Amino acid sequence: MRILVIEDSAELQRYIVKGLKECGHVVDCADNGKEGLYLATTGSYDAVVVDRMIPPPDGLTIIRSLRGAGNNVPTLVLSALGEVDDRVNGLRAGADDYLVKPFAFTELLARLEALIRRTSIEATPPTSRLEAGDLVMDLLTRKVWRGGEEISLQSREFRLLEYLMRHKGQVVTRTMLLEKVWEYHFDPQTNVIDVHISRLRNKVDKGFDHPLIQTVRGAGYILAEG
Amino acid sequence: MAALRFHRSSSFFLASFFTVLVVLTIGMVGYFIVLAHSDGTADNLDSLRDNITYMGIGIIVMMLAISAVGYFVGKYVVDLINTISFTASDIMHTGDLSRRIPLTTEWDDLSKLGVVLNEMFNRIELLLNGIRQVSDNIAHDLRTPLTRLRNNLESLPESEISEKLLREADMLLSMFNALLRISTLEAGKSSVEFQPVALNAVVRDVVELYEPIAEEKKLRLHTQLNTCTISGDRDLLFQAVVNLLDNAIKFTPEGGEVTLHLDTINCRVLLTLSDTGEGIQEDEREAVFQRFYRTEASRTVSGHGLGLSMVKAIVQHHGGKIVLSDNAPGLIVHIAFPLNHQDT
Repeated sequence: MRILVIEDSAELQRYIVKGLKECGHVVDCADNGKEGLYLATTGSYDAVVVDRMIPPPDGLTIIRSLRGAGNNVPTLVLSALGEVDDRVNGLRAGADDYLVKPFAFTELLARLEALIRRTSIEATPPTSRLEAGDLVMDLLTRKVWRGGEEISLQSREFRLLEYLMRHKGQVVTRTMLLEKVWEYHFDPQTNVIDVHISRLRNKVDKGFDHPLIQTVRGAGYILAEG
Repeated sequence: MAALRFHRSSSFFLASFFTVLVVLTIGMVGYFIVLAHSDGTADNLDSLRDNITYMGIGIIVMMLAISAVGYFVGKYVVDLINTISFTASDIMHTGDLSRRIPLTTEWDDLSKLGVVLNEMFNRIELLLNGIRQVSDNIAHDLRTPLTRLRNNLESLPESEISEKLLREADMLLSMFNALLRISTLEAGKSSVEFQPVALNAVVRDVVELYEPIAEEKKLRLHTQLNTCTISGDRDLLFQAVVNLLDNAIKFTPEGGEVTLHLDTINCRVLLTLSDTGEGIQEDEREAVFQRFYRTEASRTVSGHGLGLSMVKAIVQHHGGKIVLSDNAPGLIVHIAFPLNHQDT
């Protein structure tokens, strides 16, 4: 994937670029808004990571200009501000996701891959059926089978599994699950998500030799592709 | 402010005023005494009687004047002293350092005292804000190196120790974040537009999120949630209820009960959360809202002592109030929100 990183802090830029390259992405970078906007409009990227506070034009202005020009490249805004209203402003300007500095690299990577995946999914016709190995989910009847046997799930468990299946083979972080499945932005006091995942595991993976829901240390979870 | 000099103060003028009146009265009484001892003749008896009458009226008027002035001065002084002491005790109890003694004039000595006290409050506020500012800056500036540390830990080979270190780094980061969020809320800097929020839905979502944890601890969760809509920020409200329910579950022993109740009473939205846990001693019920305060009982439990500070900051941000009371055994948390914050 080709990813553009617009970040003025040299250290942070190095950190992001190094991490992304290690994961096999092709990375271009800019350390100011002008150069960043030029690259974003002329090059074709699968995703853009842009810091909110950079030498002008700032991150949000870049996103607005891109959207104004009909460019729908997935963008992720980095910000040191991190208050709820900043996130709202970022998303309003047309950003697809928002990450508060400081962040763990795994979090950035997971979110970027989710963004890129989402745009490629949006390009294909909507599906009513999700599959991962012998796990099948019917979105219309809201039923789930594993190895031909039906699994009964509560509605939240269904949504949790649906999110994991839509991002199969990708790391999803706990914060991503809270934001996308529970739809709240907050700091969990205890690892509540882990308890929900372990319940889901009990229903989905119990009795099967090959567990589908796997834990990624220090990052989150991944649903095996098969 | 220059030190007050007696001969320039209002008390001096007042004292002089009373002295003049008293000296005049003494003069008149002295005149009576002189008259009483003089040898009165029949022809000047009439004018003498007139003099005595005028003099008597004069004394009565003077006495009335002294009482009237004395009454008003007394009333003014007592009122102002009450205002000063009420304001000072209010500042002490609410911790709202932005309050000042209301003053209408600066002429009299007591008002001057008020002015000095107000200046002192200014100074205290400034100092305290300075401390808060410094701790915020520390939290803010420490976050970046801490993240770097966390990221480096992440790249260590997987081991029990690296896992433990990562957890601790995450804990520290979340503490800093919580601290900064509380400060932002308290400073009223968060400018998110309030939206109508169905509080019952928010509480229901929190309960649903925590149900598995409660089940693991064999706690019974009861809810009675009536439809209540307030104007607010749903993420913050969710966070507040999460912190409260998390505490309730943490401090209630196995087999206990946690009850959430939401209702609208007298134009206020009341959320009560009661548990059958250890409760909080009466003398600690205010202190637990302070940052990093931990009760004896909570020291053995994980947490960083910021949860309730955050709850209070969020509740106050929404124009609400929070009070703790005894559930014997256990704790009841009462939160009252105005029905429609924007209208008030």
